[in-house]
Amino acid sequence: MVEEVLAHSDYIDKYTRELVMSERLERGLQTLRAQMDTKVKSFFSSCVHCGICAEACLFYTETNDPRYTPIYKTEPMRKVWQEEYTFWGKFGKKLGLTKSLTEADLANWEELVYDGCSMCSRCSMVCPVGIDIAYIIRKVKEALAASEYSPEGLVAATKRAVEIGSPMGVKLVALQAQIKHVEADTGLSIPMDVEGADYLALLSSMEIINFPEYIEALARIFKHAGVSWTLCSEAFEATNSGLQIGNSVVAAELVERVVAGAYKLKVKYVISPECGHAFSAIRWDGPNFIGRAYDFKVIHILELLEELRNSGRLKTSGKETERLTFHDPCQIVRRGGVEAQPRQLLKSVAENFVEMTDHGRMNWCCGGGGGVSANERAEGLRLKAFNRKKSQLDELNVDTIVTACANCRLVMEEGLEENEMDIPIVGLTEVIAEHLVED
Amino acid sequence: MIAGFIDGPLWYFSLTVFCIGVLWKLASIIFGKRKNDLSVARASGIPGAIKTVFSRFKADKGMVPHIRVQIVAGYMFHLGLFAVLFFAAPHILFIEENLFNLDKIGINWLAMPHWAFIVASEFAFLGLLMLWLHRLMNPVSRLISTADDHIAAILTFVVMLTGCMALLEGFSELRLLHRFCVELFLIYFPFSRLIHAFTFIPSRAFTGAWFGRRGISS
Amino acid sequence: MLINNDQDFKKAISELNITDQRKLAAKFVESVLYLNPDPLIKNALEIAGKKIVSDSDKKEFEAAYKNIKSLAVNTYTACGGDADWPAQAAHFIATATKACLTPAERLDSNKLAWKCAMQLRMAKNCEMIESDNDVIDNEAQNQYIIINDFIRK
Repeated sequence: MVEEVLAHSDYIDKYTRELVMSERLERGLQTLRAQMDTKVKSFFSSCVHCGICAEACLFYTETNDPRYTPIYKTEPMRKVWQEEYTFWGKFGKKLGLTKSLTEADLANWEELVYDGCSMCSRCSMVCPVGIDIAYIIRKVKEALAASEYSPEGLVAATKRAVEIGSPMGVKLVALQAQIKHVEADTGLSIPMDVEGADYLALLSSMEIINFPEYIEALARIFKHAGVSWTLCSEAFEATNSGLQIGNSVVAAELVERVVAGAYKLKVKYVISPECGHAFSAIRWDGPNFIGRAYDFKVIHILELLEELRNSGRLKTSGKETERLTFHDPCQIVRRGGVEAQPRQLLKSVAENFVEMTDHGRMNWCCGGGGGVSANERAEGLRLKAFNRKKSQLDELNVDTIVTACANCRLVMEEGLEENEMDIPIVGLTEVIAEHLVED
Repeated sequence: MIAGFIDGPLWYFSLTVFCIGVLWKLASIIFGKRKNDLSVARASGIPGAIKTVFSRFKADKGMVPHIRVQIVAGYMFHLGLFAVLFFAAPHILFIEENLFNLDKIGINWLAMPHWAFIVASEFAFLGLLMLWLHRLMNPVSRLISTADDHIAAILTFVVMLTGCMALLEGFSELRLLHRFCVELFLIYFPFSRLIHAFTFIPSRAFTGAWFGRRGISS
Repeated sequence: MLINNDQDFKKAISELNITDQRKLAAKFVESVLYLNPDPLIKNALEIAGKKIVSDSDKKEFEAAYKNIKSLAVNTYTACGGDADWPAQAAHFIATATKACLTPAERLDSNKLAWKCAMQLRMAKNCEMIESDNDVIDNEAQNQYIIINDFIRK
């Protein structure tokens, strides 16, 4: 891969080539060193290479390729830890016996980490010695991003996010157009830039483009429940490409935009939409990216809906009679902690809700999270990995799948299509909106 | 002279290296630099941390059919070794003579009967061999294993084997060989994979706390 | 009674049988066909308007549904991809056509034409975003005209 890059640089002489090569490796190394904390050291000290994590990872189980073993994806960082933080590693390095991290390693691990890992953290749940493997992989991503070994699609999306404000190039005018359409259809007004509203709702580009019915659902539910809310023209995007590519600087910048918007409008809460990584970014990682706590609280839309339902402000009528199941978006459920709420909501509007065998915090990933679905190169692998979700669905024989992440929805539609399975997928917020008691 | 060295200075040296090594490792983890998590927790991470230290002893139900070898062999080896190490009569005698005597504080440290010792050591041997064969034959373990994993396995096996040989009490050289292997083991321990015997506790706790703050049982 | 709001629109649709709903939905799609010139769409609309009387009709119907479903899935804008509003409009046309052909057991048959209509409004919206045109070409009004004509016949 490095050779391909260099071959296109007609004006780079031998010396500069070496500089370019060593500079990328150096940046990768520096980033790995900067990320080395006590947790990582504890984790690497504890790993007995049992391989149990492989059996929790859909990229391994559906390919039988041992390279997709989760702990193997951390190898670049392990090498640095071994050489610089262990007795035998330091000793071996002095004698020239250790295999140091090379640029080829970074190039080779790009595919393993970006194509073969959705950061779902299922591996972190099963490691017998308690290693949070996804935590380490996130740090490896940071090093790969710093050394410019990231997939083209993600790089382009990140660039758009920084320059335009959306990884998919959705500008404010597009959102305004969608809003006008929703207002015309529903007769409701979608508040924008309302200072002092209780809730600032964020949206993901995926919803704005592919599932604008989510905006309508929000408007109807909030009108019904009497929620004081607003969108923000300067901070409507929830997705955080910085988190997906592994660039904390970009991630922090994108979080700061939301914080600035929330501060300007003096809201009490920011609502994270049906998008997995957006929730991780704004709810859990955001304060750490920007180095300070927020002046507002962050709540996932499902948490809010359940609060409203529980308090009697959200009333529904009728129930879906079809046999349906819930796909747990990893970043919202396992990594986000919103496990009970989708179930309580679904049970209030569905009489035939069945759980997948592995469900809730142990559900299997759709295979497209963490930037995998934005990575065209990973399509073949992603569709193979989907066989795990297919197996879960084959067991259940459901009529409908409900989920709460626009990316999961699209990834699963593609997977179902690939496997000639005809099961509609719907968003939970829309299902709730469809059952609202008419005012 | 060699016997004197093994029973004397080398024993003290190896014990010192082991104790300081383990304490140093644990201290560097527990007191090491860690960033505070600035996000608002759903719950304190402490209950999650404590819970996960224990809950990871039991594999997730859905995982069991796929990791039977690791579970069965792992428990056979670890439990067998634990039983032999702390409840075999020669070991209890050794500890009482060389380290501390629980009788002095009124605790009667009972040795297990001979038949139990045989069963425990067979379990430990079989478990270790199964784990090592799995490591060599399974493509995943083969890819991710390092020299350290193999050295630790071989060293542990040699310690156990010489221990069995040392039961032939007529030959004091065998007892000495076992003690020497144990001392090498103790010196190697803190600088190797074997340290997982202690570091699994903070590792599980870190992960348990991380998920616990999010309200997820791990 | 002339339909000029969504409440009456939805009610009128729910009173149609499934064959009529498919015909009506096909008419909705035909009025904005220029947004997706893929021949699969046109073929699907012809089949949607037919009555299924024989096994071969049923097979033809299923094949058309399968093709259009595939087209709809493959034309979503991928996560992280650069928004291409004309392509997204074409996607919504495909999705609307899929609604026309969805087997009765897969869809609440009262809402078939409604679902189709909503997807088409989103398609028109994409056209509006691309053209930077501030004025809404309210597809809903066009759909009221179509359904009023359809019911009158």
